Amino acid sequence: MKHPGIHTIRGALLLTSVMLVVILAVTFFLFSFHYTEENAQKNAIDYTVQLIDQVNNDIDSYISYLENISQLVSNNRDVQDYLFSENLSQDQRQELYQKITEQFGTMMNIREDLYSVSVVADNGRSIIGDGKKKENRYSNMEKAEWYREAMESSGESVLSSSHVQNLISGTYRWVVTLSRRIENPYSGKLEALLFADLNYEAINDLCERISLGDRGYVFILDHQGRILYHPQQQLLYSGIKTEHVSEVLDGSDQYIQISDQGEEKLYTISRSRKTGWTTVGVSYMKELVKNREEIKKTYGAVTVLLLLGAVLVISVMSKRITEPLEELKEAMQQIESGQLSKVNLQEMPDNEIGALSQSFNSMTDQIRQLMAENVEEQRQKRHSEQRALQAQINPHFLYNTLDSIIWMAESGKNEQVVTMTASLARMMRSTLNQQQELVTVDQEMTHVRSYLTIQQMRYQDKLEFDIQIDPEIKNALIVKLVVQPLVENGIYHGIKYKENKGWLKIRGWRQDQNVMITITDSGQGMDEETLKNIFKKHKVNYRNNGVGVYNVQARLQLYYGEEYGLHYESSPGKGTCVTIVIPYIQEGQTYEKT
Amino acid sequence: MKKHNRIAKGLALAAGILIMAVALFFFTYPRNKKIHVIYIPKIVDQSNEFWATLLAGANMAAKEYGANLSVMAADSENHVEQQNQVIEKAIAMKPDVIAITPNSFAENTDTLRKVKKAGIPLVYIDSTTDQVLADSVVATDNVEMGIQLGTFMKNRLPEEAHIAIMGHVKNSSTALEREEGIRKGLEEDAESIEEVLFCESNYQKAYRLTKELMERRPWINVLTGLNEYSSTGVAQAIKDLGLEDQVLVFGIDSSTDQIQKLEEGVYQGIVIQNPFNMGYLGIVQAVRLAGGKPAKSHISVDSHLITRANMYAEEEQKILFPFMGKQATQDIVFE
Repeated sequence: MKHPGIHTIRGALLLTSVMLVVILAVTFFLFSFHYTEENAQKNAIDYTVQLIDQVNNDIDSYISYLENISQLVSNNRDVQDYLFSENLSQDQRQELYQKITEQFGTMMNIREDLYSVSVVADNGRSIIGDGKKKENRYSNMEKAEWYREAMESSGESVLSSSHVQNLISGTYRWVVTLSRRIENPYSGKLEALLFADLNYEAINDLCERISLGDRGYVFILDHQGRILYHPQQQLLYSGIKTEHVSEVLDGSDQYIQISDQGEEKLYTISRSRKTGWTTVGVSYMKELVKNREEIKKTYGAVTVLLLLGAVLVISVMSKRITEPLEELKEAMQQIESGQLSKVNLQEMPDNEIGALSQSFNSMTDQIRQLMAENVEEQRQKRHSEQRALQAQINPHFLYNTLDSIIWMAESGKNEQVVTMTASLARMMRSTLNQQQELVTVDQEMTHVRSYLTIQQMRYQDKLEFDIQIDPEIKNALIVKLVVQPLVENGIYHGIKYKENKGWLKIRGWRQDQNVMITITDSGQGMDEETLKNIFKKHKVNYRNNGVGVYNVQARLQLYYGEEYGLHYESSPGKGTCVTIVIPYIQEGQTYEKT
Repeated sequence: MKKHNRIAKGLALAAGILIMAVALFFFTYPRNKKIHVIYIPKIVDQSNEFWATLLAGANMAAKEYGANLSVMAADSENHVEQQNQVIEKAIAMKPDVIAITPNSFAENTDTLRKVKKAGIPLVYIDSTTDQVLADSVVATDNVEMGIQLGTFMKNRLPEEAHIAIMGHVKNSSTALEREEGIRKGLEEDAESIEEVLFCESNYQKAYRLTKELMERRPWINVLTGLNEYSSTGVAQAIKDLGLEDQVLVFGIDSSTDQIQKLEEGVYQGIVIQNPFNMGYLGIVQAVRLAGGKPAKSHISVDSHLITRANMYAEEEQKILFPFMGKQATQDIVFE
């Protein structure tokens, strides 16, 4: 009872293989899911890298556009004339102003993302945008960082970080400014500042358009590593949130993974050579593989299906393997219980078990054959035993009879000699006919009558006998020479020693399926002790009785079985009655002992 | 039959283990139901920078924490009764949590008690009520704000200071606390406060009251407002009277008009709140409460002092001019 459930080969086979399959399938599932997830994650990272590079490129193209404008404006003859020429009349200057502001206005109209283009000369002349809006007199531009940086440059374009542009009265707009010092062609010195403002909204849109999962976002650092754009910049400045700026600036990798409050984040970094800005995409690793759940479900479903299939195949296979074994086991059990004839294993598979079954079949065949041989041997043994038993004719009787015949012949009792000799002859014939085991009751009675006739003559009418057999059983079969020894026994033990006349009755009838024959004598009878030992072999008195009661009983039981045979009833002084009980067998029938 | 039972048992066991393993695997990451937050501001007015910025902050928190945010509000800041109706309507919607900026210090209390009765967590954003029923209050510390302004004023006071304060609503918690803070910040100079007026959050009235005050007490040389309307009215009156060189004007809040007056030099300085952070932190607290997580009972949102000199500095300009993209308030559902 160590392992309940593993009591059969099939059970063991099923359990182990199912467990094995489950382990294998689950392992495979976990492994392949992990692999796929990793792969998907790698793809997602690659994709994010491309996406962020694209954002960076887009920003670069905005800046390139600003540069083009600044180039265009700084080389514009009209602008140079307006700012630096001292030889213009008031009207001419006004005309130029109109022309330039119109051009600026057109540029700003074409590109929504271009907030404004302005030029301010050191001599105080300026053009602010399309010239239609009211200037902010208190703009205090000179103090702004972007302005100072631009003024320090030497003709190259300078890109500012994000800042609020307050040049137009009442308007405070977040912009990124590209500025450039303009050369005065007359003096050859840098004497004016041109600046183009890119609408910050454009950068915001660009970054917000990028979808990095539900919670992912994009932020931008300027050339000094300060935050130029961040969707949560409000929170950053209040210290409610922090951003991993230093990690981003320190490395040179395309992406880094950062664990933030128990959450894995992917920082995808793209650095622009043109602007010096760094565009960073932040995505949550959990969200990176969008269809993670789907992948998991699909893999899980396939695994479960495979498992079910495997279990089905295993159960069918194990059944095919173990069913013949079951059959073999049942056949063995049948043989164990002795039902040999029914056992025959057919349609066994063509494998080890098939070979085993064939061996089993030939073994049972052999056992069957051996048993048949045994039965035949037993039969022959019994037959020879029977013959041996019935062959024993009392030589004393023969001698005495012949002696009587001589004595009667000498006395001239011819008639009596004839009768006795004829009787003896009849007796001898039936005794000598040794081939036959069974005779009819009638034949047996003829034999007995011949014997009794001889004995009656020998005892000189001291003996009387009476034979009455129902005609119904006259033709019934009986093992031959069983009645005569009993009669002889009765004469010797009962009548021989009596002073007066003795008698002997033989009765035969049918009772149900049996034939009953009783031999009753009027002899001295037997005490209980004698009666008890009557069937014992050693009590056979060969001198008086060559063929004893034991012999008869043995022959009857050998032939008919234990339930048949002799029954004695006797008590001292009251005679003896012996009953032969045999089954009723008609001539031509055979008898099979049960 | 017995052995078949055993096999069946074994198979059932194996199948059970398998199913449990699979089930465990599949439900490792249970998907939470989205938390529904209702926020009831004083008014819904996208043109008002303060409220628009606050809503942008609220929306960012809702997005970040995966919550559904709906906004319901009365038409005007002064309709207490209307806001009470809105609160009742919100309760009927059975949200996971309600955040509110109560209009009145005293008159919303009874209705708000119903929110608590309905078992809905309550968060106050920006303002509070006489009896604090909220599980969490996220607001500017008005006393601290007053101290900030008062301290700044004290450093700029003229030799002989004559101070007047233009309050917004008499007995409103913000007005009381801010005045208290200013007095603390001024320390002993608080004695120079000669008059405290109230304009009922009406710009016109503040303008008128200031002109009247300057006629009545022409020696007043320090003036401050306590909110956007009172500060703007005071500054405009002083500018129109041409007294910006004689009278030092201070203020609270940062409308475009106020920023311009700061640039022009009418204001010496203004103290501004951080409505974005207020909205953000308010909704974060609301989401935490709805999710059964611990939330702080009170969170103070910092205020900032802005002067003409620092208004375009890197950090200050980001607070003074909160940038809001087109999407900042895009996903908010207005009921």
